[in-house]
Amino acid sequence: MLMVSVQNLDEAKESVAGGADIVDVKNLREMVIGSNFPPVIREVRRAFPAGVHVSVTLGVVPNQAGTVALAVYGAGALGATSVKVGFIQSDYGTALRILRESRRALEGFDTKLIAATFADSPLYAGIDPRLVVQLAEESQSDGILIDTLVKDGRNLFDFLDEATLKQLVMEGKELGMSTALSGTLQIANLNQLVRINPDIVGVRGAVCTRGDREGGAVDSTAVAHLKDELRQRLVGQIDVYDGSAPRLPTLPA
Amino acid sequence: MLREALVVDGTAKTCKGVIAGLERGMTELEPGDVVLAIVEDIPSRLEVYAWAQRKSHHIVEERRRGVGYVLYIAKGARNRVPLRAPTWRDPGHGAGETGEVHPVPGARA
Repeated sequence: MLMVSVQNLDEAKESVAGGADIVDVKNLREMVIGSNFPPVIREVRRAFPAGVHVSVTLGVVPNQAGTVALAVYGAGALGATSVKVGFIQSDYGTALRILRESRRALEGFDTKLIAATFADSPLYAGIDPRLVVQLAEESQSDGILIDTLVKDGRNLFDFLDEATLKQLVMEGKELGMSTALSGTLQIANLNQLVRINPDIVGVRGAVCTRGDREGGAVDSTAVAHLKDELRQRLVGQIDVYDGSAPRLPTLPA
Repeated sequence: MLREALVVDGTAKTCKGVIAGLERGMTELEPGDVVLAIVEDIPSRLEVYAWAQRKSHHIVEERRRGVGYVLYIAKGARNRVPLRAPTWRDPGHGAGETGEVHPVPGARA
């Protein structure tokens, strides 16, 4: 599934028109990937049928379980499909406590809880991003997201290699979780992403005008183009394995 | 002839994929029970094969469905062959419109 980060209803409409499966509402002016305001989230949620998933990011949350749990509750009350809680300068125990309180805050809602870590968090002496599956499992979260915080041209693969990401994604799947990867991903990264095969690929800059995640706006043509590039790789029109894939039975089309 | 005890549709627009569904579903089944998994892309097909091998389950049949694949997976039991002999009925989920079944070479059923 393709997830596009949006800042407002106009961008959400562009995303859906281009074929996005999930619109992820965030606010770039707060910590690069911060939370948007409740009226914006409500407006986006109401604009689309339930089949269009509307996720909410809380970005990098403070180490305050009550504050985060209340924000998570807000996402549930707004009807978000999922809410992402990300950690950077937290220790494991604090992050786990926050996620457990977030889990409790979502009781009675259909909103899924996503534990997020940042691949580049070692730059900030933050939590090891590879702990995300363990965090999600121990907190009974519904899914994982691995993203990046720096937006300086480096992306997810500059911080975690394909094999590590593949391992984390498979571990998450085998625990029944949804798995998502994001972090300045471009069309050039699609081969690696398809080999890793997360359930969700998240983008923004790649589908913005001028490729500018902050100064540009989401463009439906760019979304459709990226989605088609992804589709071609998924169905084998573009070989992402370079002949290295395991040989499977050949079936008549 | 296979009778599936469970269908895991990886083409549904849900955030959790086919492996998560298979993991959940298999825990409810007995060794030899068959799960029908529907996937729509090559990476997911590869993943199901790798997962089944790692978990000692057996892909006993497979066929095309549009651009995707329908896989019949028998729950394994510590590397033993499926205990329950499956019997066929049409799954009725749009799988295999032609009705053709293509046994996987080397698969045990």
